[in-house]
Amino acid sequence: MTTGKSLTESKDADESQGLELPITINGEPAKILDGEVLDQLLTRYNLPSKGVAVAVDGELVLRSQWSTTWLSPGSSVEIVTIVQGG
Amino acid sequence: MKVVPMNSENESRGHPRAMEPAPLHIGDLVLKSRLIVGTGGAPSHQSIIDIIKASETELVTVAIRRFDPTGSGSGLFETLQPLGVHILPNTAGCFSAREAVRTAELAREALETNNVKLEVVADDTSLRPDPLELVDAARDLVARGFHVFAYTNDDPVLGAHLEGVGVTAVMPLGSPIGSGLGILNPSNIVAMRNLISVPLILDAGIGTASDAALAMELGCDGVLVASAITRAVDPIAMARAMSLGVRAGFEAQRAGRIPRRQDALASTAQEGIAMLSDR
Repeated sequence: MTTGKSLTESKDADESQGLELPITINGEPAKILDGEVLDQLLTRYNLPSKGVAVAVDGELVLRSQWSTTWLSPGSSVEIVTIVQGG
Repeated sequence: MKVVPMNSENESRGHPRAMEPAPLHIGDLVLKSRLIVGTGGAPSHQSIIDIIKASETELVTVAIRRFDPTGSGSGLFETLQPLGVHILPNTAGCFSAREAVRTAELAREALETNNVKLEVVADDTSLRPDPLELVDAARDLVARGFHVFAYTNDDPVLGAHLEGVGVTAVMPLGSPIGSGLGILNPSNIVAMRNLISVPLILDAGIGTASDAALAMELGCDGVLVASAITRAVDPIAMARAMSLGVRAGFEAQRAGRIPRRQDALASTAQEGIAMLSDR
């Protein structure tokens, strides 16, 4: 996923607390800065305001909880939307 | 406002108006059309719009998959929203109750609906529902406040168990998903109808409009069609045909068919026949 690259190029990367943690997003390796919340990660993905949902380690994280959800090293983030289906 | 889904062309030709279609009450939905349309397999988003309009459906199914941040153009959600149809997310691709429940939770968050079409299949060849996982998932989802539309085998006992755990609709297959084989065991569908009180929706295997009509004649409350429309040579024409098939079957079921008999029964009276030769 090309957008994964931008995660390591965050302007906050040089800050002292900016230890990078490996995670996966939709199965692709990615990094998040230590102390960042889910909301900050997701802003890089330009998600629409409706029609998407996010799970961390298999469990739904409500949109209202994105700003208070911290990720751990190895966390698996899944961002989903609706697609054609029967 | 009472909208009668009649083709305006037919109205102008003065065709007699058919029986007023009774709306389908299913969970918190009231649907004028008894045809539910699956969007899977449609060649484009524009074709989905055209199919929905031609079918006159008010409920369409979608699936839940990974968001592609590099995707160009508008998403399916943006395509469906202006059409005013209800969206029924499914749990297609799930092989366990745990996966299905998690998928349903994501769907509820994404679409702000408690409605979910529950699919828990045993394998990806037959796509047949796994009855044990299905009932487990249905029970869990009902407890979580979902309105569960349960895709199930054409097994009356399993259907009754699903009703027992509180599903909103029981949706038996006619034949395997996408097979177009129609309704392979009509007597099972009749048995389900006799056993189950919640809405019964024929969900898979429809191949053409006569299959949809048969489902309704057997006593189903509605029909869900995906591949038979979206993969038809002319999906829009088939959408219209399915709409008519569902209506025809519904009205025929209400009209009451004649009993089957082994011998002929003349519709023309014998009385008064001219003697034109020796008998």
